[in-house]
Amino acid sequence: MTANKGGNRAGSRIETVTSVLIIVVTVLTAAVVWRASVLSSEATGADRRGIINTLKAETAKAQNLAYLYQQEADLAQSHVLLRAQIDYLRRRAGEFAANANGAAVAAILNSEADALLLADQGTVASSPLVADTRYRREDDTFDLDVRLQDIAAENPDLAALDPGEDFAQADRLDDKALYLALTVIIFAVAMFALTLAQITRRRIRQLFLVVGVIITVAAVSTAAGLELLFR
Amino acid sequence: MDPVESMVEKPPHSRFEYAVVVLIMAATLLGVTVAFLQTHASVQEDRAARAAEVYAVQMMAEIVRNGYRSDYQASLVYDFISLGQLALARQFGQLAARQQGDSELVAEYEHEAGRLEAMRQALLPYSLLLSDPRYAPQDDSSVPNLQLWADDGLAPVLDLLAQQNASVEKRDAWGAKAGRYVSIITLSAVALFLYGLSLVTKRRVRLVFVGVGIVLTAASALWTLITALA
Repeated sequence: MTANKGGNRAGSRIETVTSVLIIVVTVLTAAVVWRASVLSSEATGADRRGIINTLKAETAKAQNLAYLYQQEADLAQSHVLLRAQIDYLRRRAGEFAANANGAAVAAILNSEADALLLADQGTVASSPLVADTRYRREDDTFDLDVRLQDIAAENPDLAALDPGEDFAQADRLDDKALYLALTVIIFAVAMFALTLAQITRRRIRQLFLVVGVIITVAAVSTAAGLELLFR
Repeated sequence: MDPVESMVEKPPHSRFEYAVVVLIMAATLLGVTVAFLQTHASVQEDRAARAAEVYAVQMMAEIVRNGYRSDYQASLVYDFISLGQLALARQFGQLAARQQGDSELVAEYEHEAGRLEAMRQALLPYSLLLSDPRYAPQDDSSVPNLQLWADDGLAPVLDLLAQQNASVEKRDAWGAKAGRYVSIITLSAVALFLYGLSLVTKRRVRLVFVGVGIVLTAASALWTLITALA
């Protein structure tokens, strides 16, 4: 009878330990689910940031192109037309100057060319595309792509926008949340073993208890490892 | 009575109760697994939705940029044609003046026509539509190949549109999958409720609850398998 009583007492202790472990596993599971939820929320934030940065970057690109074509390329076109007139007037002045009585006409033409040159100098001064020789191709046309790169570089904040980085961060956070959700399954398996330890008798319950503890330790280690190592 | 023993509930006595507890744990395990699969499907759905949004934004921006490029090229062609027409008008004036014997006016018209022609020719190398062999007119009378220009400009837009549509399809597929997992979780929850109910009811009705619960759990497991493999 005494032995029976001792066995009951040992059984009660196992039940107590198992109950405490079940509570611990339940709380840990809830904590892991909470952490996964927080990470998922952060991932959503990074995603939003990425979308916003995509909008900003694409808008900046469109604005840069609008500025290039509507301002600088327009001025460059004026410059080209002025230069064509100046060259034409100079050539004609030369032709007239070669004639015996064409000096007066040549002077008028040169005078008009000089006036146009002044106007052109104003155009050149107000357009880096025209003024800077870096933007000239070998055939004397304008390299709009190089100028576009320089315009983009003039606003370093917008040029530095990298939505891909935001999306990569969102993916990392999502992956981490997903792996944590996977550890919840391990916790559930541990809970299964602990429940079996709670409801069974004799030695088998000890086996279930040990298995439950081992799985719980594995789940906790996995969750902690993910938290510490997965950045 | 042992104080420790008094804190612990009495374990279930019947085999039926043991079986129900095991079933509850099995349904819970299934539910947790389906919850993980649902999270995974949701993440994939979000990523595809994000990609679709990004492609849409990039597509819109490309359309806007294409508009600016086309406007610029169109304005060059417009100026080129206008200057040509003006030069031609001066040449007509020159002819008329020559017929009337007004040599000063002839010289003036000639000069103006030459100036306009010089301006017109100066624009030529800057216009892709007029100088690029792919788009340039084949002879003096024909216009640039605007259709090819429009097709080339729209090619990246259409490419982005195809990628956006593919992402939307992917998003919908993962969304449908995630939705099915939610249904499975709901089914598992109902099974869990029935298992719990069977523990507080007596006689044959408990068997009905457990029976229906087992059917629901089995259906959930099968549905999960089919959905995961789809």
